[in-house]
Amino acid sequence: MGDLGIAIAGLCAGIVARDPGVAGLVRERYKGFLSTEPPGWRIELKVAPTPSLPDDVVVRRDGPPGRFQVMRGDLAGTLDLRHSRGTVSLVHANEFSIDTFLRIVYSFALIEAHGLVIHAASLVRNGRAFLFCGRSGSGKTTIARLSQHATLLSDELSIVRITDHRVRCYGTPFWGDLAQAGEDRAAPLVGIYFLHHGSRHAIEAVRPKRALERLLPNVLFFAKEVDMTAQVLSIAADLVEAVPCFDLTFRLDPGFWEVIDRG
Amino acid sequence: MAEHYVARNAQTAWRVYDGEAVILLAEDSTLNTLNAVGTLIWEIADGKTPVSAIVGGICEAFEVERAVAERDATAFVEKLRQRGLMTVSETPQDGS
Repeated sequence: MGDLGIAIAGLCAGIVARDPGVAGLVRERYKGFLSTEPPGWRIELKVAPTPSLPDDVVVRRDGPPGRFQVMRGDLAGTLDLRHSRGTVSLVHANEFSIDTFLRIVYSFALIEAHGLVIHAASLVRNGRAFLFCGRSGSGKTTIARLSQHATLLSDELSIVRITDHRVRCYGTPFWGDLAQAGEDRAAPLVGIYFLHHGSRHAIEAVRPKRALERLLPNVLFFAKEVDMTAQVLSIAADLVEAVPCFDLTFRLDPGFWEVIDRG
Repeated sequence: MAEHYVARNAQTAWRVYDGEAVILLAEDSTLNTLNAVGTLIWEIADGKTPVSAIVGGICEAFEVERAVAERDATAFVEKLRQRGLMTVSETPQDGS
Protein backbone atom coordinates (compact mmCIF):
# COMPACT_ATOMS: atom_id res chain seq x y z
CA MET A 1 0.00 0.00 0.00
CA GLY A 2 1.62 3.27 -1.09
CA ASP A 3 1.73 6.47 0.89
CA LEU A 4 -1.13 8.92 0.73
CA GLY A 5 -0.41 12.60 0.80
CA ILE A 6 -2.68 15.13 2.42
CA ALA A 7 -2.05 18.85 2.59
CA ILE A 8 -3.84 21.11 5.05
CA ALA A 9 -2.96 24.81 5.26
CA GLY A 10 -0.03 24.19 2.95
CA LEU A 11 1.46 21.62 5.29
CA CYS A 12 1.80 18.27 3.57
CA ALA A 13 1.83 14.97 5.45
CA GLY A 14 2.57 11.57 3.98
CA ILE A 15 0.22 9.01 5.50
CA VAL A 16 1.54 5.46 5.70
CA ALA A 17 -1.26 2.98 6.28
CA ARG A 18 -0.52 -0.69 5.60
CA ASP A 19 -4.04 -1.67 6.61
CA PRO A 20 -6.21 -1.29 3.49
CA GLY A 21 -9.20 -0.41 5.65
CA VAL A 22 -7.32 2.46 7.28
CA ALA A 23 -5.93 3.65 3.94
CA GLY A 24 -9.43 3.64 2.50
CA LEU A 25 -10.75 5.66 5.42
CA VAL A 26 -8.02 8.26 4.98
CA ARG A 27 -8.58 8.49 1.24
CA GLU A 28 -12.31 9.01 1.69
CA ARG A 29 -12.24 11.22 4.77
CA TYR A 30 -9.61 13.62 3.39
CA LYS A 31 -10.50 13.39 -0.29
CA GLY A 32 -10.70 17.15 -0.61
CA PHE A 33 -7.18 17.54 0.78
CA LEU A 34 -5.22 14.80 -1.02
CA SER A 35 -1.89 15.99 -2.32
CA THR A 36 1.03 14.79 -4.39
CA GLU A 37 3.41 17.40 -2.96
CA PRO A 38 6.52 16.13 -1.16
CA PRO A 39 5.44 15.58 2.44
CA GLY A 40 6.99 17.53 5.27
CA TRP A 41 5.57 15.11 7.82
CA ARG A 42 5.35 11.32 7.85
CA ILE A 43 2.49 9.77 9.78
CA GLU A 44 2.12 6.05 10.22
CA LEU A 45 -1.29 4.68 11.05
CA LYS A 46 -1.88 1.10 12.09
CA VAL A 47 -4.50 -0.95 13.85
CA ALA A 48 -3.04 -2.72 16.83
CA PRO A 49 -3.99 -3.78 20.33
CA THR A 50 -3.09 -1.13 22.87
CA PRO A 51 -2.80 -1.18 26.65
CA SER A 52 -5.52 0.40 28.76
CA LEU A 53 -5.87 4.02 27.78
CA PRO A 54 -7.33 7.18 29.33
CA ASP A 55 -10.77 8.31 28.18
CA ASP A 56 -9.70 11.88 27.49
CA VAL A 57 -6.88 13.05 25.27
CA VAL A 58 -3.54 13.00 27.09
CA VAL A 59 -0.47 14.54 25.49
CA ARG A 60 2.78 14.43 27.43
CA ARG A 61 6.50 14.72 26.89
CA ASP A 62 8.16 11.46 26.01
CA GLY A 63 11.89 11.63 26.56
CA PRO A 64 13.90 14.19 24.60
CA PRO A 65 12.54 17.63 23.66
CA GLY A 66 10.08 17.55 20.81
CA ARG A 67 8.84 14.01 21.51
CA PHE A 68 5.33 13.50 22.81
CA GLN A 69 3.03 10.63 23.68
CA VAL A 70 -0.56 11.00 22.55
CA MET A 71 -3.24 8.81 24.12
CA ARG A 72 -6.95 8.49 24.22
CA GLY A 73 -9.29 5.56 24.73
CA ASP A 74 -9.16 4.69 21.05
CA LEU A 75 -5.54 5.47 20.15
CA ALA A 76 -1.96 5.53 21.37
CA GLY A 77 0.70 7.38 19.42
CA THR A 78 3.90 9.34 19.45
CA LEU A 79 4.96 12.60 17.86
CA ASP A 80 8.50 13.58 17.03
CA LEU A 81 8.61 17.25 16.14
CA ARG A 82 12.31 17.27 15.36
CA HIS A 83 11.94 14.65 12.67
CA SER A 84 8.38 15.57 11.67
CA ARG A 85 7.10 12.08 12.32
CA GLY A 86 4.09 10.60 14.00
CA THR A 87 2.95 7.05 14.61
CA VAL A 88 -0.33 5.93 16.02
CA SER A 89 -1.92 2.62 16.91
CA LEU A 90 -5.67 2.66 16.55
CA VAL A 91 -7.84 0.32 18.56
CA HIS A 92 -10.14 0.10 15.53
CA ALA A 93 -9.97 1.42 11.98
CA ASN A 94 -12.07 4.44 12.73
CA GLU A 95 -12.13 7.84 11.03
CA PHE A 96 -12.76 9.69 14.28
CA SER A 97 -9.62 8.24 15.83
CA ILE A 98 -7.58 9.16 12.76
CA ASP A 99 -9.06 12.65 12.74
CA THR A 100 -8.27 13.19 16.42
CA PHE A 101 -4.64 12.26 15.88
CA LEU A 102 -4.31 14.45 12.80
CA ARG A 103 -5.82 17.43 14.62
CA ILE A 104 -3.18 17.05 17.32
CA VAL A 105 -0.39 16.60 14.75
CA TYR A 106 -1.39 19.77 12.94
CA SER A 107 -1.75 21.75 16.17
CA PHE A 108 1.91 21.00 16.85
CA ALA A 109 3.23 21.18 13.31
CA LEU A 110 1.68 24.56 12.56
CA ILE A 111 3.41 26.32 15.41
CA GLU A 112 6.70 26.16 13.53
CA ALA A 113 4.90 27.54 10.50
CA HIS A 114 3.60 30.44 12.58
CA GLY A 115 0.09 29.07 12.53
CA LEU A 116 -2.62 28.02 14.94
CA VAL A 117 -5.52 25.60 14.97
CA ILE A 118 -8.43 27.45 16.51
CA HIS A 119 -11.87 26.36 17.70
CA ALA A 120 -13.64 28.54 15.18
CA ALA A 121 -15.83 28.45 12.13
CA SER A 122 -14.40 30.22 9.13
CA LEU A 123 -16.01 31.38 5.93
CA VAL A 124 -14.92 33.16 2.78
CA ARG A 125 -17.07 35.90 1.35
CA ASN A 126 -16.06 38.06 -1.60
CA GLY A 127 -12.53 36.70 -1.40
CA ARG A 128 -12.12 37.60 2.29
CA ALA A 129 -12.06 35.23 5.25
CA PHE A 130 -14.00 35.71 8.48
CA LEU A 131 -13.26 33.75 11.65
CA PHE A 132 -16.04 33.01 14.18
CA CYS A 133 -14.51 31.87 17.40
CA GLY A 134 -16.03 30.07 20.35
CA ARG A 135 -16.27 26.96 22.46
CA SER A 136 -18.69 24.13 21.89
CA GLY A 137 -22.23 25.47 21.87
CA SER A 138 -21.23 29.02 20.99
CA GLY A 139 -22.78 28.80 17.54
CA LYS A 140 -19.95 27.97 15.15
CA THR A 141 -21.93 25.42 13.17
CA THR A 142 -25.01 27.65 13.31
CA ILE A 143 -23.04 30.52 11.77
CA ALA A 144 -21.87 28.17 9.01
CA ARG A 145 -25.41 26.94 8.36
CA LEU A 146 -26.70 30.51 8.16
CA SER A 147 -24.06 31.43 5.56
CA GLN A 148 -25.16 29.54 2.47
CA HIS A 149 -23.76 32.27 0.22
CA ALA A 150 -20.25 31.95 1.70
CA THR A 151 -17.55 29.35 1.12
CA LEU A 152 -17.03 27.09 4.10
CA LEU A 153 -13.49 26.72 5.40
CA SER A 154 -14.58 24.94 8.59
CA ASP A 155 -17.47 24.85 11.04
CA GLU A 156 -15.28 23.62 13.91
CA LEU A 157 -11.49 23.91 13.66
CA SER A 158 -9.96 26.62 11.55
CA ILE A 159 -6.35 27.25 10.69
CA VAL A 160 -4.72 30.66 10.58
CA ARG A 161 -1.16 31.34 9.49
CA ILE A 162 0.86 34.52 9.54
CA THR A 163 3.53 34.91 6.90
CA ASP A 164 5.30 38.14 5.98
CA HIS A 165 2.84 40.07 8.16
CA ARG A 166 -0.06 38.69 6.15
CA VAL A 167 -2.73 36.67 7.90
CA ARG A 168 -4.50 33.97 5.94
CA CYS A 169 -7.21 31.57 6.96
CA TYR A 170 -7.22 28.05 5.50
CA GLY A 171 -9.86 25.47 4.85
CA THR A 172 -9.66 22.29 6.89
CA PRO A 173 -11.23 18.83 6.82
CA PHE A 174 -11.84 19.10 10.57
CA TRP A 175 -15.58 19.40 10.90
CA GLY A 176 -18.09 19.79 13.70
CA ASP A 177 -21.81 19.15 13.75
CA LEU A 178 -22.05 20.11 10.10
CA ALA A 179 -20.17 16.91 9.18
CA GLN A 180 -18.86 18.62 6.07
CA ALA A 181 -15.26 19.37 5.20
CA GLY A 182 -14.22 22.89 4.33
CA GLU A 183 -12.92 23.86 0.92
CA ASP A 184 -9.21 23.43 0.38
CA ARG A 185 -8.50 27.10 -0.16
CA ALA A 186 -7.18 30.13 1.69
CA ALA A 187 -8.10 33.78 1.89
CA PRO A 188 -6.88 36.89 3.71
CA LEU A 189 -8.39 37.05 7.19
CA VAL A 190 -10.20 40.35 7.67
CA GLY A 191 -12.03 39.86 10.96
CA ILE A 192 -12.17 37.74 14.09
CA TYR A 193 -15.58 37.51 15.76
CA PHE A 194 -16.13 36.09 19.25
CA LEU A 195 -19.56 34.52 19.31
CA HIS A 196 -22.38 35.31 21.73
CA HIS A 197 -26.00 34.23 21.38
CA GLY A 198 -28.50 37.06 21.69
CA SER A 199 -31.83 38.44 20.58
CA ARG A 200 -30.38 40.85 18.02
CA HIS A 201 -27.34 41.22 15.81
CA ALA A 202 -24.60 43.50 17.10
CA ILE A 203 -20.85 43.81 16.94
CA GLU A 204 -18.49 45.63 19.23
CA ALA A 205 -14.80 46.17 18.62
CA VAL A 206 -12.50 44.36 21.05
CA ARG A 207 -9.05 45.68 21.91
CA PRO A 208 -6.05 43.37 21.51
CA LYS A 209 -5.67 42.49 25.20
CA ARG A 210 -9.30 41.46 25.54
CA ALA A 211 -9.14 39.72 22.17
CA LEU A 212 -6.14 37.72 23.30
CA GLU A 213 -8.01 36.69 26.46
CA ARG A 214 -10.92 35.59 24.28
CA LEU A 215 -8.78 33.83 21.68
CA LEU A 216 -6.30 31.83 23.75
CA PRO A 217 -8.81 29.46 25.39
CA ASN A 218 -9.93 28.54 21.87
CA VAL A 219 -6.50 27.65 20.54
CA LEU A 220 -5.94 23.92 20.17
CA PHE A 221 -2.68 23.47 22.03
CA PHE A 222 -1.33 20.56 24.04
CA ALA A 223 2.33 21.19 24.87
CA LYS A 224 3.33 22.14 28.40
CA GLU A 225 6.80 23.40 27.48
CA VAL A 226 7.44 27.07 28.07
CA ASP A 227 9.14 27.61 24.72
CA MET A 228 6.17 26.27 22.78
CA THR A 229 3.76 28.12 25.07
CA ALA A 230 5.66 31.32 24.31
CA GLN A 231 5.45 30.61 20.58
CA VAL A 232 1.69 30.08 20.77
CA LEU A 233 1.23 33.26 22.77
CA SER A 234 3.36 35.16 20.27
CA ILE A 235 1.40 33.90 17.27
CA ALA A 236 -1.93 34.61 18.99
CA ALA A 237 -0.77 38.10 19.95
CA ASP A 238 0.42 38.80 16.42
CA LEU A 239 -2.96 37.63 15.17
CA VAL A 240 -5.10 39.90 17.36
CA GLU A 241 -2.82 42.84 16.62
CA ALA A 242 -2.98 42.30 12.88
CA VAL A 243 -6.68 41.52 12.44
CA PRO A 244 -9.64 43.58 13.74
CA CYS A 245 -11.45 41.69 16.51
CA PHE A 246 -15.07 41.98 17.58
CA ASP A 247 -17.65 40.52 19.91
CA LEU A 248 -20.51 39.35 17.71
CA THR A 249 -23.93 38.90 19.26
CA PHE A 250 -26.27 37.13 16.86
CA ARG A 251 -29.68 35.58 16.63
CA LEU A 252 -30.68 32.71 14.39
CA ASP A 253 -30.87 34.37 11.00
CA PRO A 254 -28.28 35.48 8.44
CA GLY A 255 -28.72 39.16 9.31
CA PHE A 256 -25.44 39.16 11.23
CA TRP A 257 -23.66 39.54 7.90
CA GLU A 258 -25.25 42.96 7.41
CA VAL A 259 -23.92 44.02 10.80
CA ILE A 260 -20.49 42.69 9.89
CA ASP A 261 -20.54 44.47 6.54
CA ARG A 262 -21.49 47.74 8.23
CA GLY A 263 -18.86 47.28 10.93
CA MET B 1 10.52 43.19 59.01
CA ALA B 2 12.55 40.79 56.88
CA GLU B 3 13.07 41.72 53.25
CA HIS B 4 11.51 39.50 50.59
CA TYR B 5 12.23 38.90 46.94
CA VAL B 6 9.65 37.81 44.40
CA ALA B 7 10.32 36.14 41.09
CA ARG B 8 8.16 35.37 38.09
CA ASN B 9 7.70 31.68 37.38
CA ALA B 10 10.03 31.04 34.44
CA GLN B 11 7.48 28.60 33.04
CA THR B 12 5.26 31.43 31.89
CA ALA B 13 4.86 33.35 28.67
CA TRP B 14 3.47 36.86 28.84
CA ARG B 15 2.78 40.03 26.95
CA VAL B 16 1.80 43.53 28.06
CA TYR B 17 -0.92 45.61 26.40
CA ASP B 18 -1.50 49.19 27.48
CA GLY B 19 0.25 48.51 30.77
CA GLU B 20 -1.69 45.31 31.54
CA ALA B 21 -0.16 41.86 31.31
CA VAL B 22 -1.62 38.68 29.84
CA ILE B 23 0.16 35.64 31.28
CA LEU B 24 0.01 32.03 30.11
CA LEU B 25 1.26 29.34 32.47
CA ALA B 26 2.89 26.57 30.46
CA GLU B 27 2.08 23.58 32.62
CA ASP B 28 -1.68 23.89 32.37
CA SER B 29 -2.23 26.71 29.85
CA THR B 30 -4.14 28.75 32.43
CA LEU B 31 -4.55 32.36 31.48
CA ASN B 32 -4.14 35.24 33.92
CA THR B 33 -4.55 38.92 33.29
CA LEU B 34 -3.21 41.64 35.54
CA ASN B 35 -4.21 45.22 36.15
CA ALA B 36 -1.72 48.06 35.90
CA VAL B 37 -0.41 47.76 39.47
CA GLY B 38 -0.09 44.00 39.19
CA THR B 39 1.71 44.35 35.90
CA LEU B 40 4.22 46.75 37.42
CA ILE B 41 4.94 44.23 40.17
CA TRP B 42 5.13 41.39 37.62
CA GLU B 43 7.60 43.23 35.41
CA ILE B 44 9.89 44.09 38.32
CA ALA B 45 9.68 40.64 39.93
CA ASP B 46 13.09 39.41 38.83
CA GLY B 47 13.98 37.65 42.08
CA LYS B 48 16.65 40.21 42.84
CA THR B 49 14.67 43.38 43.48
CA PRO B 50 13.43 43.54 47.08
CA VAL B 51 9.71 43.93 47.68
CA SER B 52 10.42 47.21 49.45
CA ALA B 53 11.78 48.59 46.18
CA ILE B 54 8.76 47.31 44.27
CA VAL B 55 6.50 49.04 46.79
CA GLY B 56 8.50 52.21 46.24
CA GLY B 57 7.90 51.86 42.52
CA ILE B 58 4.16 51.51 43.05
CA CYS B 59 4.06 54.63 45.27
CA GLU B 60 5.91 56.59 42.63
CA ALA B 61 3.94 55.35 39.63
CA PHE B 62 0.45 55.46 41.14
CA GLU B 63 0.82 58.15 43.82
CA VAL B 64 -0.48 56.03 46.69
CA GLU B 65 0.59 55.95 50.32
CA ARG B 66 3.28 53.46 51.20
CA ALA B 67 1.09 51.56 53.67
CA VAL B 68 -1.58 51.08 51.00
CA ALA B 69 0.97 50.02 48.41
CA GLU B 70 2.53 47.54 50.85
CA ARG B 71 -0.81 46.01 51.69
CA ASP B 72 -1.86 45.72 48.04
CA ALA B 73 1.50 44.36 46.90
CA THR B 74 1.55 41.75 49.66
CA ALA B 75 -1.95 40.56 48.79
CA PHE B 76 -1.14 40.49 45.08
CA VAL B 77 2.08 38.54 45.50
CA GLU B 78 0.35 35.99 47.71
CA LYS B 79 -2.41 35.55 45.15
CA LEU B 80 0.07 34.93 42.34
CA ARG B 81 2.15 32.65 44.54
CA GLN B 82 -0.93 30.52 45.18
CA ARG B 83 -1.57 30.37 41.45
CA GLY B 84 1.96 29.16 40.85
CA LEU B 85 2.94 32.28 38.97
CA MET B 86 5.44 33.70 41.48
CA THR B 87 7.87 32.49 44.08
CA VAL B 88 8.80 34.37 47.23
CA SER B 89 12.11 34.02 49.03
CA GLU B 90 14.05 35.75 51.77
CA THR B 91 17.22 35.89 49.71
CA PRO B 92 17.80 37.32 46.26
CA GLN B 93 18.19 34.90 43.39
CA ASP B 94 21.68 34.24 42.09
CA GLY B 95 22.73 34.32 38.49
CA SER B 96 22.71 36.68 35.59
